[in-house]
Amino acid sequence: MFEPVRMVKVSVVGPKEYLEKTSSTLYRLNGLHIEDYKEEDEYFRIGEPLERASKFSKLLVSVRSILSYAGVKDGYEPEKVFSVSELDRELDVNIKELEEVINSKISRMKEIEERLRKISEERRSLLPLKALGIRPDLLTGYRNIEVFTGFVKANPLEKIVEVTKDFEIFTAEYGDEIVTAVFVKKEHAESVFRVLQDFSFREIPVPEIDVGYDERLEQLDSEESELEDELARLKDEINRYEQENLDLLLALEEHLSIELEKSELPLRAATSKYAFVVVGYIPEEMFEKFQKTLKSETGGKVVALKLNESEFNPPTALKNPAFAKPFELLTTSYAIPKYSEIDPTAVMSILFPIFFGFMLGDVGYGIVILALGLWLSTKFKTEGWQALLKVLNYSAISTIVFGLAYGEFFGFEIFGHESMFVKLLGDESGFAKIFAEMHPIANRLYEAPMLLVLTIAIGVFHMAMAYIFGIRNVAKQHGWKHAVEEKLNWLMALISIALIITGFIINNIAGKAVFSLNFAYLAAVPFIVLWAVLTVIGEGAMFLIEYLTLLSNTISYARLLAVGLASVGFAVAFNYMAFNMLWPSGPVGILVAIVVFAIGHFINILLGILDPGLQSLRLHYVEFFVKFFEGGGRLYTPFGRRRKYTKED
Amino acid sequence: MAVEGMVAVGAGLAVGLAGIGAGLGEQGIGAAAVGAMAEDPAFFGKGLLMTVIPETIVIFGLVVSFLLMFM
Repeated sequence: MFEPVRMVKVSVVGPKEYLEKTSSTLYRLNGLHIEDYKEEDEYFRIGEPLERASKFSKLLVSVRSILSYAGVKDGYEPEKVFSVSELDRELDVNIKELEEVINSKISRMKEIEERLRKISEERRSLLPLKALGIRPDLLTGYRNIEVFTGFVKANPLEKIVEVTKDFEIFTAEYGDEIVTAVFVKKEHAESVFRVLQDFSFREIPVPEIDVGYDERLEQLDSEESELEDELARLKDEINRYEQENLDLLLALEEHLSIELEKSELPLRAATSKYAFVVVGYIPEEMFEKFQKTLKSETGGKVVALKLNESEFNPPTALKNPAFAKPFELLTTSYAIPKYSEIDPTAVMSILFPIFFGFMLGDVGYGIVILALGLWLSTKFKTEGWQALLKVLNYSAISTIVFGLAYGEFFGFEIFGHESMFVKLLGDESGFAKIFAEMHPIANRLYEAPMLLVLTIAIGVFHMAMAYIFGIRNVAKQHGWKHAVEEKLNWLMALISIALIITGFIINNIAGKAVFSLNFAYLAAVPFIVLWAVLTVIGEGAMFLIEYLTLLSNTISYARLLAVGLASVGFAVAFNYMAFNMLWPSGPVGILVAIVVFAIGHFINILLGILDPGLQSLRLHYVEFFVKFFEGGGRLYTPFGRRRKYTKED
Repeated sequence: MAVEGMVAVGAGLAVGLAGIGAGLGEQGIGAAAVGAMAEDPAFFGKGLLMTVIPETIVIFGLVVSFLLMFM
């Protein structure tokens, strides 16, 4: 639970002819985390991919391009699961046809789209020219005359006169711009063009057509509608084809990717002229089965051996019970534990919801968040979302439990003489009396100082656990001497802080001066001395200043109370506004009261998910993890995968 | 002004000023952390860790206000 899966380093060795067979077997076993072979030498080189690789990758590209049109939803469950032999047949017979049909359709669609773009471009230039009213054949094809047709922002007539008198200009208004055609002798063309540029001239390309504008526009319209019909039809056909063959296409995609991965295994292996070696890590518990299967499937030609090398750097496969699995998301987004480190997921899976509930603690909010979480988990099916929503649901349940302990329901009190049941049903109601006579375990508003002390105590235990984990990690990695000098000393410091705070509280309760001596202060002294000596030996005198960091870490747990108090404060304020100020003021007041109540609590619930979630995460990341968790591991990614759309024969 | 009133003002200032200070501190760190996360989403954990470091000061303010109000 606290440690990653135990791994062994293995090498798989065999003759080269068996590489393909071995690749299939390894893939199916789905257990070997392969270490890529990198250093080539005289005898061993990186292998060449199997011949079929290039064929598969080509097919894969076309299947994926077809699938990209389909848009498969997350969590799609196939109606039919294809077997591998079926797919191989399909590949031999139908893939060509499938490719041709689809590719010709897709390329025709691209053609049409291109033509449609051209048509709309031509129309964009025809319309303003039509407004100008000069026949298209008159706008081009002169030997000594240059024609400028285009948009200008004002009539350039007067400025052109300053350059030359030999010209003809036509203008017309088009939208909020001016279309112009300027006819000018070739020798003046350049200077006239410069004038036009001052009027932000934008040229309109004159299409080469031999019919009138209206006729041409009609031609374009009819061509466009024809093409659009064809495009819609093609899209429809592809869609229909995809709908009918979606399962097949998904199966093909999976099958081809698998085959491709298999045929690329040699790229990760060391191969000599006649033999190959694949090195990797495999969970210890799988090894025996792995060895046997490999032997039986290759007739003893390929063998798997345990390696006892000094270079042992296995990947991390987190191993946690089902309830803690979703919390791996939170652990790994901080860092992936090293193989030799403690995996804190299990601890977090218990304490994260408890911290969350401690902060939010309201039966009503808990129920709303739980309902929201359950509803969302039917909508978002991806693995990440499911994990996150499970975390939210656990937290919501914890919120309900703490809500009962605090006796809060949407900021109202459940128990005691102020109980909402008393207010709702009156003093006389038997039902209300039951609640009026009960007391919450702790009322947050009245017993804040007591809870403050409790939060600090929680912090001390939380961090003590972190240091114990730290001692174990360092002892395992660098030996006990380091563990004592780097981690145990800080555990001593933590105990001394806890004792000092206890002494402070004792003085406070007894009403003595803050620093008047008591047994707790005295008890802290040996721990401080021990801490100081160990720290100076192990880390150096500079690190004594870190005592203050630890102190602030300890006090940091006060946020467990603070965030909660803020949330209660909001809730009580909204309730007061709604029911004490607005409700008594008549029908309109009642309406407004309901709106204020709804909006207020909606905002508070949103904050209530975000803030306790983040603060709880922070307490784990900053106060807890930093003390023992280094991270930097590699995730275990075995060669192979779980099939979804296909099955082995 | 009554002593209790002054105590309440002091408690409010302790939390409020500490909050402003922490906010000013966090703005730069937060922006940088978001930037780093855009480059590499794996930075989330460390980014969050660094962003919330100045927050401790608010907790100090809070504890001070508690001591003022309740003790």
